[in-house]
Amino acid sequence: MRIDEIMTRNVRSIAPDDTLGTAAQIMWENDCGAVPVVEADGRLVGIVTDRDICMAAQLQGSPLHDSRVSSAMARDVKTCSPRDTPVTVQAIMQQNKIRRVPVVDDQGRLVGIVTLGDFAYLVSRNPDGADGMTWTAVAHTLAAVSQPRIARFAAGYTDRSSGRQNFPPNT
Amino acid sequence: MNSRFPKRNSSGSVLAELSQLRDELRVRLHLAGLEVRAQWESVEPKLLGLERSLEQQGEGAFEAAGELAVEVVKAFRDFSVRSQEGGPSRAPVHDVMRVRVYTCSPTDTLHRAAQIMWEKDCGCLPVIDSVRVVRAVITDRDVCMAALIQGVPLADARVSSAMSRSLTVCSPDDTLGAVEDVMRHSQIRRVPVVDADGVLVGMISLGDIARYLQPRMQQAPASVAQLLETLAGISEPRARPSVLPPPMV
Repeated sequence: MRIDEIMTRNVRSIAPDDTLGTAAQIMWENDCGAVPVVEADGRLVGIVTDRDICMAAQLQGSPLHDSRVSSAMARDVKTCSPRDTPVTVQAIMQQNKIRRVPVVDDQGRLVGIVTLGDFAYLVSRNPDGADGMTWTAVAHTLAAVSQPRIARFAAGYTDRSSGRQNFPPNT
Repeated sequence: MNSRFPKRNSSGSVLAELSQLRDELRVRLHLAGLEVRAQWESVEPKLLGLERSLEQQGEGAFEAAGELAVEVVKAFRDFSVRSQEGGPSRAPVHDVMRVRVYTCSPTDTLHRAAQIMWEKDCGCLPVIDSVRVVRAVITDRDVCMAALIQGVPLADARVSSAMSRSLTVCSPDDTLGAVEDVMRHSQIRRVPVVDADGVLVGMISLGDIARYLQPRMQQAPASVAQLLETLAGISEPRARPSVLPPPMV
């Protein structure tokens, strides 16, 4: 099985120069918590979440339509290929403590997104495991991504917000 | 003889193993519910029958009793697995919940709520009144959407304008399985834990349950299955919001 068989296609994306207001509007309309950020040529350059927007609004103190997506997005995005197997991508999630992975083609252009929820759905419908993907592997990943960030620092994991220059360290 | 049967050269040692397993399971039964007791009552007579048959016919009859012994061993192993499966999901919330919970009040500004979320690295705060009764919860997503809809800096908006209008809570005595049902049904991953008066005593998330199950997963496939059903249910897209936010100013 390949990731492009289970990923969500036609993902709504946003440009780095768009405002956080537009990003929040997309999240509202699509009931999603993350929007991939792409350049005009379709290349993925970041991802912005509802939490990022909340924190940017708090730190910048301005209305959302006065802030650019580029000021709040995470730039160090872990991605996968449409040809990867679910097992590979689930390992990426577990290692990096992330629940969403954008899918990009060989040119780095966004083609979809896959979430831990997709994997949970996949194994829930395939009780004997789906193509090497086991119940326990997905459950372990859920436990890993739910680990508090402070504990992740203590365990030596890198934090994905390190790509955000404008965010002060957590003090 | 059936190859699944443990490699033993004497029926006595097999019986000793079964008896020991029975004693362990009897201890576990004290902790288990009625459903497991019913299963036990169907399993235990099989061992009694085997013991009696071997007693009557002596050591030499072991080969003859082989098939029966295989059946008994399988029944005991199945029971052992199943009796544990009920375990983790039946644990009470108070064994798993977090008791150090950061909160805010309805009159706090969204700026203050977001600051607490940032400093304490959490995405969800129970909103409590002066006697710590939970009135609502507010998430980072709620703050994000309030900032969109209200179009003002967070310092100019109150928590009461953005917090959830429906409240789902659980009791510390609820089982993990029951809380997961609530999460799946309401499509939420975090639930405040309150006492009989509605006073906040803790917070429990699907992630907390996952971490609690982690060291027990191999013995509890049913609990893991339920966890993933819950995650899949929560992650399913909700119906599209019927009301769109007003156009941005």
